[in-house]
Amino acid sequence: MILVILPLGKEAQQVGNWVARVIMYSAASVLGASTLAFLLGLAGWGLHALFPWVRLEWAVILLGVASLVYALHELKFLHLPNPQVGWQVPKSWQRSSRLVGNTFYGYVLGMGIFTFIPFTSFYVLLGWEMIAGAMSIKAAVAIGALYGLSRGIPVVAGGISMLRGEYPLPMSNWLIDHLGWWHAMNGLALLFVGTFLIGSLVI
Amino acid sequence: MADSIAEQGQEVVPARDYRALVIGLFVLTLLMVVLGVWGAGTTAGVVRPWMDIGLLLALALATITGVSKTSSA
Repeated sequence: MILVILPLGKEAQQVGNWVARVIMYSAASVLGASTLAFLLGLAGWGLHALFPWVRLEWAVILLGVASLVYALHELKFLHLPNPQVGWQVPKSWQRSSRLVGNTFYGYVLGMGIFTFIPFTSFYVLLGWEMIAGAMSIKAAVAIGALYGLSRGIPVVAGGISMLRGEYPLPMSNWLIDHLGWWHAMNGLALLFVGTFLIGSLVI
Repeated sequence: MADSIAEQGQEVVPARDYRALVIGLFVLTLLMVVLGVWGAGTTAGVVRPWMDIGLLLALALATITGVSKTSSA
């Protein structure tokens, strides 16, 4: 995605043009992720209102177990189902205007549920937004907004490297080459989160 | 003769040593579990996913997940 937003070659000299695209992609990503978080939070709030006898501790334990199990998946100890739509945003969205196209990309990719889900920590995050939303929809939206913003960070980092006169290609390649490390990092993060959530109710 | 030339032409690729990687990952895994248990001990049995440390954890996970997802494609 970094190289879809950031241009290579002569186009890179039109700084104002691609900086606007980076900003719009990131802003739309925040908006998309926040929208989904709001809807999930609302669903959590609704479920809590419908079933008030279901204690939130149970939901926390469920989230903790899911975190631990998916940590094992990310660390390649287990192979679990990884449901996803796997749709790819069409190139045609950029036909009329790259700025508009990239903004739509940001919104859809920020939501994250329509495209590939390479990291299972995303499922835990969606569950978390729902549980947090049961008590505070603001908290659910905050989680979603930060997720959306984080989706823009690699693109912004690529943009900064371009402003410093470097091509973003080596950085993008480096990030993709280290896919195993990203999975390990997600696995370790899930392990910590899972141990924390379950431990807090057991210890 | 042909075999000798073929042998000379074969590239000798040293086997990569994964021991450090496996041990490192194992140590990090243990560290995460220990940190998780230690962190859980500080909450005194109350963790709220929508505020305080619960929300902080979610925000950290959101950052890691978001950056990873864009970096991988």
